[in-house]
Amino acid sequence: MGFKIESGLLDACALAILNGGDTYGYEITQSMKKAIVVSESTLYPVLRRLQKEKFCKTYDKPYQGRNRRYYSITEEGKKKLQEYKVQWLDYKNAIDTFLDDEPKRKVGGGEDD
Amino acid sequence: MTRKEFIEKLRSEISKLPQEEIDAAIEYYEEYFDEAGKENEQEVLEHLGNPKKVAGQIKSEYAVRLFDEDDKPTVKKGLSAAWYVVIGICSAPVSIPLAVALGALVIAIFVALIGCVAAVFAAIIGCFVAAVAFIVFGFMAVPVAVPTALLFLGIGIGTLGFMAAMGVLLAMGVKAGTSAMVSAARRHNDRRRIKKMVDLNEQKKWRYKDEMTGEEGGGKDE
Repeated sequence: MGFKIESGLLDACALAILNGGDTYGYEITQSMKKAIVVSESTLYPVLRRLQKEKFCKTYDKPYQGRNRRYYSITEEGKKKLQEYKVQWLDYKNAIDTFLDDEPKRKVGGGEDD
Repeated sequence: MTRKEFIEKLRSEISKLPQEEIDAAIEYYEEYFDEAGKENEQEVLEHLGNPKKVAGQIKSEYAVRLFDEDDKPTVKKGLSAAWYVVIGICSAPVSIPLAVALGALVIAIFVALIGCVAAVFAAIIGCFVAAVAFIVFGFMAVPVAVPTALLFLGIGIGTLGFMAAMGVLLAMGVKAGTSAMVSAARRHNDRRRIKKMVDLNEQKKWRYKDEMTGEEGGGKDE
């Protein structure tokens, strides 16, 4: 919708989904699509990047006579997810200083009389 | 478009990536279609959209990763530096005497040039002294024989003037010569620096191209 989701946030969301348990590409895409507007082709590069940065690893499991590739979060991935969570809170708080209905504008400074 | 057409188009769009990247992407999308099920094939195709766009996302992710890795010193670069050292050491028995000989030759030419200039200078100074002597003798000869005195004075003053002109010319020549040499050296240096810079860029470009077309994923270790 309104806001473009940049790749760092997508990485964070994908890691969060993986943190809930091992799963496969199609399912990750579907769970993302439930909450945010992403194109179906967005997730592959995200997963590939996470995999190359060793934040997740893959394994194959036979399913109905074919392979299903599962993605699994690594210890490094869990650490990264914690970092993302902190960064997200900072970011959210910063934006809230402007957008929140009950402004607690202590953080933003720059208040006019 | 069918699933098969989509996959083939995608494969050809990313065909310049390393084989490992192509396989991973194709496997992912094959599996994606499988998961969606035969009955949803058209829907998935619609959602995925143009294979060119899908390929673009894959390629740009790869390119970003490649350039990120470029910033870190890679095994490859370290290796090539090591090779230069090895080659340097191995060729030392030949290259060191050669370099010494070349240096000696350059120094010899330089010294010879300085010698020539010094000789001309000495000749000028000699003529100067002779001219002064002629003038002195000329003055001394005035009480004895006026015509001889005038002749001596004339020769002396004439030589003095000529030598002064020669001296100025020589000084100008030397000055022009040295400044030309200095500026040539500077130009050469600049050119080498620029060439080095361009080479570096070129190398980067080639490295990138190498890995884009490399058969085996071009030694990109995990």
